[in-house]
Amino acid sequence: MTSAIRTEALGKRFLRLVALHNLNLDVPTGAVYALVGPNGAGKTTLIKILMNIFQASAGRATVMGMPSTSIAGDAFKTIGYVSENQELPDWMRVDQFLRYVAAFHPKWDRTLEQDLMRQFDLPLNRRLKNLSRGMRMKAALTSALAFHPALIVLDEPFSGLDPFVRDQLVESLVERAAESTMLISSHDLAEIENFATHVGYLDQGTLKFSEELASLTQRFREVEVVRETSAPLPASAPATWLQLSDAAAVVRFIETRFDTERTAEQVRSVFGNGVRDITFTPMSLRSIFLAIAKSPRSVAS
Amino acid sequence: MNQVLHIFRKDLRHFWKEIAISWCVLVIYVWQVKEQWNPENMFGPRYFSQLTQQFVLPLLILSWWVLLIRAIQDERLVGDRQFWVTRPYRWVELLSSKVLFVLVVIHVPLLIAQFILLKLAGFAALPYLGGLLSMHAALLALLVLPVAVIATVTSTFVRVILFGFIVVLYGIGSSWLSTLVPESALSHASEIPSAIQGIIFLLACAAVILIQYARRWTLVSRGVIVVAVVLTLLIEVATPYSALIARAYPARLETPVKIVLNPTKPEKPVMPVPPPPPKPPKKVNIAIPLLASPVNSNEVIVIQGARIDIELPDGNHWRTKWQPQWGTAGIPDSPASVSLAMPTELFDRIKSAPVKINTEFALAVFLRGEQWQLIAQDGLFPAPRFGLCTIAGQERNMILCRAPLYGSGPLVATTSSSESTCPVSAEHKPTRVITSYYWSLSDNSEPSAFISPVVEGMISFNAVGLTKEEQKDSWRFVSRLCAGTPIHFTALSFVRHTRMTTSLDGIQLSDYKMPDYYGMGADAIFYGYTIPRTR
Repeated sequence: MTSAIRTEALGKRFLRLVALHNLNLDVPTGAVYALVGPNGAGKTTLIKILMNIFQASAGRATVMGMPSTSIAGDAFKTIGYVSENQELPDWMRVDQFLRYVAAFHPKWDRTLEQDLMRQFDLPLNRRLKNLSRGMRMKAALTSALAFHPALIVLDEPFSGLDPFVRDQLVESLVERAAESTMLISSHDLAEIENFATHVGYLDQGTLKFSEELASLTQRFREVEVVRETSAPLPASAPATWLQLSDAAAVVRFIETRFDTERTAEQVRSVFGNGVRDITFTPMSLRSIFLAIAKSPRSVAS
Repeated sequence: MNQVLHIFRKDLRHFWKEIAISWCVLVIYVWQVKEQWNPENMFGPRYFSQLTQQFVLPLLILSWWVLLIRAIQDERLVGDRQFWVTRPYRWVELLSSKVLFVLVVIHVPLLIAQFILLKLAGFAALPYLGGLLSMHAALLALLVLPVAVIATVTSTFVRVILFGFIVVLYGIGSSWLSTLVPESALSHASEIPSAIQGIIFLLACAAVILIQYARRWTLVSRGVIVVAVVLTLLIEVATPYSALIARAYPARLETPVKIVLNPTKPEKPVMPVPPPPPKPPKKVNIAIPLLASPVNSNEVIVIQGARIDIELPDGNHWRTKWQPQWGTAGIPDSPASVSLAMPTELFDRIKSAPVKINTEFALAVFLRGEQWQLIAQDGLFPAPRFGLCTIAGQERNMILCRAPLYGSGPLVATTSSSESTCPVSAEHKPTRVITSYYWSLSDNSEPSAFISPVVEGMISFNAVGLTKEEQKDSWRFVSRLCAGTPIHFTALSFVRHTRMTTSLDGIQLSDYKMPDYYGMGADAIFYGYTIPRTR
């Protein structure tokens, strides 16, 4: 599979602050790539380098086969970019704004535009400056989707939106997923989980891991071990176990390399014959990332 | 091209109110300029021109700047959140759309206004199209380009204003710096450094605009501005002006003018002199009156600068750098003097002792050429080189003229009381023939106009050779211009620049000390004022 986005040893410094460090990212063509991580992890910086808004301090990046440093002008005929804090021409009405943007895109799809406007229930006669945050995001998204971009890059598109608007935006993105590659940075893991195919976790400028979502959810399990009697926790546990804790005879941890047979065998080898019951519970994306965020251990795939 | 027009139309739609205001101010400006031509408004009780001149033109320029800044910052080039940056804007088209906006919103209406003004002034506009376009080029370089540069490296209007303050500070600093290098005021010698500074300025402006539109590297652009500023200041202070002046004003064997000390000592001040400042000034201003007469009577000599060397009583020398001077030889009674500012301590030491002053003069030589005569008429009458003129002034001793784009060029004009056709009462009848002079020595190869294409000139005649009695009374009644009065013109053509040295011996400096006016002193020297004073 070819890469829509690829970075090699990408780095970015703001004076002494290291925003990105040795970042190697690969977003396959056709993927819906969710870039997640805590605030200040470097998600927006990475996206701005990819969109040639920032210049990288080290390494290189390619977007749709082009060096990110040459992403400008006509390159945006195939890239739709929306950011949560993007400035829009506030003086324009929604219809003026869409008409204005449409003229830049030879492949602007008037029917799709109408569909999106209906779907988003956009007030055409209102000026952008008078729109709510959610409505502004919808207008921006309409302007970024209506020309069938091959790559859609969204920086925190759901931030601060109410659940109803989020659902509307997600629905529209799901509809586009078949024809575009998407890179979405978000805190809203629950929404992304529904349609992302790949996920990358960025923390303190470093990509902790990057893999297919199915594989991620497959390898993470909450494990509950019920022992015959209460006993101290073993001094050493496998490196793939996170957040090992016990309460009376029950031990809980998170397995990051889950395999039914191998994990069960590992449990028995650690706790001996005193294991009465083992339960494996699938985890939500949110739980996985909370576990990762709280753990000092590496969980790279 | 489609994108250029698309962005341009958007800017028109967005800024139509600002455009409308700017065009209204332009209409008011045209009306004001036209009204200003009426001598009644210039000299009458309404003071119309003073009031409107103060506000309308600055307001017009301000409206252009607002339009320019807003249009550029509608697609801000500073920051990382602009919507347009991630849209298929091509930078060349974006820049072209802004250029188109400036042309259509500022230059074309101004050009139309200039055509209308020329028409209203009684001139055909088309023959002056080339001159008008060169005026627009100057306007673009001096008014539009610097503001455009500021707008491209700032993100908001407020920041533009802050940047403007920095520019004002730079202007003040640069002016102060130029006072430390008085040689730079000799315009002919400073042509080369000025040209280099101009080229650096234009290149820096172009570089910043291109960098910002092509790459949006604001830090680099701001660096270019800082480097350009430092370079121009360095050129200001580090230029070897003495060598340039020696090259620009070559010394010759034959001197074109004879310069001697004017034996008439300065007189008591006519006007009350303010009290001396509480703290004695650090420098004393000295003005030594001269009598300058051209060796060739067909020539007019202009003193443009001087370098003074005073031989002190103790055998030492005190020297000045080259500094501008004003004086003319070849036109009767035109003032000539050599001025200098000397440290008070030195002056106090040598003021009573006669000293020898060696002065090296930088001169421009003009040759008298074509002569013609003009008969003044009532109302508007055509005058060669001056355009359309009318007699003005309470004493009817001047004519006001308006010409298309260019000034008169160097010339001398005279009128004689013997030829005046004005009625004179018996008690004010001049007892002898009195000649009045007007002269202009400015070049007119470039348009003198800047925004209004109509150059207004005032030919004001000064009676010369008057006695004290005549000055008190009858001078006001000679040389009056009425219908039928002839005015004689002589064209002057520039011949060469040259340099010569003159020695004045036995000068007692205390005789030529000027009053210590507040805020004046050196300024009086620089502007060549000769303030009458007592011995």
